[in-house]
Amino acid sequence: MKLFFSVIMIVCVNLAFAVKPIKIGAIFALTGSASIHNKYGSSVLKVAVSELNKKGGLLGKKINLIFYDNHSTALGSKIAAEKAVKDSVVAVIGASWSSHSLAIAPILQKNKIVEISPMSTNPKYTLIGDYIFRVCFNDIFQGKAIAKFVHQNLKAKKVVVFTNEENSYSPTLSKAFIKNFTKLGGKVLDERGYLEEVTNFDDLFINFSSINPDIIVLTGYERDASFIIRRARDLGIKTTFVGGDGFSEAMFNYEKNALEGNYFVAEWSLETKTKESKKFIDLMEKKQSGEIVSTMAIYYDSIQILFEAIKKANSINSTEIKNALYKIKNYPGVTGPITFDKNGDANKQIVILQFKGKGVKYITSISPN
Amino acid sequence: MTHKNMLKNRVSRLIIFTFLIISFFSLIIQMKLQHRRKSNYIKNAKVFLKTIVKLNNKELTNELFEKRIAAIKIRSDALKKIHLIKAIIVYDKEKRIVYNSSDFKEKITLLPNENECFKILKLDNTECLEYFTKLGLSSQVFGYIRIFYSLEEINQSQIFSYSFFSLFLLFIFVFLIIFQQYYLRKIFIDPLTKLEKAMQLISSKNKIGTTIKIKSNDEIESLANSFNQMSLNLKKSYEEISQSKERFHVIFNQTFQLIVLLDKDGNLLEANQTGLSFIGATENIYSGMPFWETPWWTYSKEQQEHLKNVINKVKKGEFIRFEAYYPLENGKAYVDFSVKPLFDKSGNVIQMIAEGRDITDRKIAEAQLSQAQKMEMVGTLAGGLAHDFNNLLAGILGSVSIIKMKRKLKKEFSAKEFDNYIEIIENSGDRAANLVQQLLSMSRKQELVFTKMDLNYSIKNIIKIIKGSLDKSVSFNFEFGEPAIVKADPVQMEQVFLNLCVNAAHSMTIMRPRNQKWGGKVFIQIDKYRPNEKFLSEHKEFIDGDYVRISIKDQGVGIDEKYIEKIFNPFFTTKEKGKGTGLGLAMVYSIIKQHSGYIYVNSQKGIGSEFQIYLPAVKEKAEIIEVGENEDFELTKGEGLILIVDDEEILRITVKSILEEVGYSTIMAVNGKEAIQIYEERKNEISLVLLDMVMPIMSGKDTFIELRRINPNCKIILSSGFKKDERVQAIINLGVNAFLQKPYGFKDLVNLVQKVLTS
Repeated sequence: MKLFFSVIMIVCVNLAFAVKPIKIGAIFALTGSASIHNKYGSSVLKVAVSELNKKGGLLGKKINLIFYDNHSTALGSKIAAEKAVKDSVVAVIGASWSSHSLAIAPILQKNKIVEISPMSTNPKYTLIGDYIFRVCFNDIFQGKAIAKFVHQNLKAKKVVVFTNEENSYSPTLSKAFIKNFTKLGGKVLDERGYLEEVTNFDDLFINFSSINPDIIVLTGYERDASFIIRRARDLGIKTTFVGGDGFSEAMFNYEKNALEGNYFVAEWSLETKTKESKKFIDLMEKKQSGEIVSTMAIYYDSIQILFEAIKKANSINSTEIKNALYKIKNYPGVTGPITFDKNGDANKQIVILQFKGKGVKYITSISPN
Repeated sequence: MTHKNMLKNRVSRLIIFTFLIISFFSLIIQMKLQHRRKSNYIKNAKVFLKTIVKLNNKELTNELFEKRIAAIKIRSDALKKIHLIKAIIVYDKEKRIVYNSSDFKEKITLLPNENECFKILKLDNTECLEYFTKLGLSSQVFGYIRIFYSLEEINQSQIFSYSFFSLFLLFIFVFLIIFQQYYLRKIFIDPLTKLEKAMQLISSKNKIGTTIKIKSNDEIESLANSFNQMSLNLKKSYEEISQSKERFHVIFNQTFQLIVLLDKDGNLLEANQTGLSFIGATENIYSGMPFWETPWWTYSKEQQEHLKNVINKVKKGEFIRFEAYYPLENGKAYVDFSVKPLFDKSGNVIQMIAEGRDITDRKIAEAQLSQAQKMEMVGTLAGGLAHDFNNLLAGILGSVSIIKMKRKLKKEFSAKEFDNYIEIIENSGDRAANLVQQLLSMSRKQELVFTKMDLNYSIKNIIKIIKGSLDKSVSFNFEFGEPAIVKADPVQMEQVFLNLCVNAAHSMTIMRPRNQKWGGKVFIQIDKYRPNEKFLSEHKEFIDGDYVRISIKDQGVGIDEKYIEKIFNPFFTTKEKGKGTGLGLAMVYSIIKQHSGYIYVNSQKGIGSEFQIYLPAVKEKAEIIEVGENEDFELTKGEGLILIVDDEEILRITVKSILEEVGYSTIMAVNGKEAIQIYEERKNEISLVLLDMVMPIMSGKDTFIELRRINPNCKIILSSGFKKDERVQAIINLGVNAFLQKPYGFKDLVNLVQKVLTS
């Protein structure tokens, strides 16, 4: 008997080994406040993987995309990362929020597993280790860009900054903005903080009429930003909001009318006329049912560049993938050419979009130079 | 006044005591409730704090993990805004303070070994519930949190509760005091005071019938109404009693009778006006004295003694009635007196009522009645008497005529013849004198004088008297029997027999129907009688004893059955109108009753009637001795000078002759005055005075007194036609030597004179 079972076992193992897929972890918020935003990205990743698998996968193996729910919390992200490590994934795409990515990075770095974040803009993120990468811009640049936009484009002299204190992204961005805006000669009248899950944002508008800023810079995420803008409008405050990349079309899920006229930062615009954009839009239109939002492109780029790295490395060894990533020069991403610097940053341009009607309008782009 | 205070005090004490008891228990209950309330509150607070931490645990843990201090600050500050959360302190894994959002001035220290717990402590004088717990996920601890929840609210609430409670008790207490002061007074004390005042008015100020007005629609009003009713009833009763008393007093005083109220010992309580007027008093000043010592009785020791005896008997429960007299200026007042005991419910004598009815008039009437009766008798007798007298006078005058004739004719007649005629004259004179005597005694008003007498003599006398007055066809059958000694008034007795004999005679004569022959026999019998049981049972009023029984039986018309009961009634007569006054038997009955005797009648119409008289027998010999009947002619010669005082000349001459015949010498006086004159002059010579009673100018009595004044040893013989008249009696009592009844014979006079002179 024993002999029979062990023979079966060896065969299975070999079989398994033979057709074992490439495990790629995706750590995102499937629950919690980030989940609304993340659902768009998640569907993009799924589409990319399924397309690739249709073409035969990578290195003759199928790609197994495993989602790990971080519950929209840093701790959840940490736990998810630990789980991913235990599952022996070759790489991880995630997370979207900087807090989450910052929690994941140390663990993956320790375990020498590549992490590519689509959207996390906190500068500290990529500094955690050489296995840590991002395909978007960082907040140092974003803050500068917003300050320039607000000061020059919007001609605002005095602003108020609302910061979501609950995470690693918003405070950093606010700080960067304030530094640059003040440098440009603008005046920051007040910086007010709030917590993520709060539903009553009245405290932000205490004595607001006496302050009377030209612009409110709101560096929060979709949910809280929508509520804040809504509240402002309810209180009769007509000041224009300018948000970071935490804003997106996902905000229409929370608020229909109040968003009108407000500006925000994005990685990509649907109006981009590049070849890659068009191809991506076509693919999305074909392969997924929901709407196409401006955040989707960066997710596509994040997994595509991983696929590229694996192909180039011709290995599922994480270190070799890492090395391959650093070697990529001007990968033609949907959001633009991607080259990782020595930290793992992509140093991309930003676009400014404006909420118009039921959608967004492209306003301008600002490049990091 | 002190009583009302006691009521108030009692109620006060009761109120205070009740209040304290209620307060004490309420306080205990309140404390328990409050304690439980606080416990519940703290329990809820604990749950609340746990919930807060649980709700924020995930975020706080993340913030601690990410070291998001700003976020922790915002979160902590937001949490602190929750009502009553005073402080939130967030610690890292090493229990170092990450953020302290406390308001407290006091420094809050953390003991190194604190684990998850609840504690109650005081910070800045505020009592707080502290919750210390870890922040983390599953087993991993990322930090700690400390929340301070102020208990000021519950504490204040409790203080308020206690204050309110105390205030409430105070309010109740004040209310009770007010209640006691005001309502107690109003509801109880005032009405009761009213009641008390009214009662006082009634009892001490005698404002009978005082009523009070209380309108409180409760038991007190009810009480007041009852009181009013009682008061009015009292008033009514009082008025009735007053009226009754008035009426009584009016009756008491206005009544014609004398009424005297005595206590049980016979002491005078009150006499009515009539009684007072009897003794000439206007007010009851003798109250308290024994009745027999009061002026109503002190005029006579005998009456006093008698009354005392009577009262002693009444004390034992007897009812005594008697006749008393009261002296007046001119005569006596006769009173029909009775003393009656009053008993209480147990039969003890508590008072006596003495009543007196003035019966003077009655007595007068009775006397007049008696007199009238006598007159009637006299009338009846007058004819006969006149006839008798005529006969006697005829005898006397006839004899005298013969003697005169013989003398004139100078005819000799023998000594025998002479003696015979003298005898006739003497006898006739005797008889005439007797008749006069009888007549006189009958016609005179005389008081009863009870003496021991033999009834045989009475009957004998009567028969002698009336024989001549009545029709010849009537004959009397009487035999002198054994001495029938009774204590009686001789005159009255003779009246009785006279009456009955006349009636008997009339029943056989004038009362006979026209065709019947007149006449019959009257049987009179006397004997001694002792009643037997049969007799006593038939005659219930008869008192046992020895009696003298007199029976007078006739053969007359008898008395109709239907009249027998009325026969003794005054003015009742079966005779024809004008033939009788109807007083005879009434008189007889009255006399017999006065002699403590009994009279009964048997009669059969057409056959005859029998009257039976019972009089109590007396043992001793009769005192009355007929004066005279001494046949001894032996004349004792005498010596001395005798003063003859009489207003009648014939009498003077006759007496003079008689006395001088036997040897006395005489002087004569026509009246008292002359007698005194003569005696004054010749008192040493005069040995005896023969004094007539009835004389003009100076009465026999006055003469007697004067003679005795002159010479106390003067010997005086009183002579009078009135036998034992009261006047006579009075003089006899004064000490006359002897009494000579007119008409008296030769022998009587001489013997008596000699007797007196030699005594």
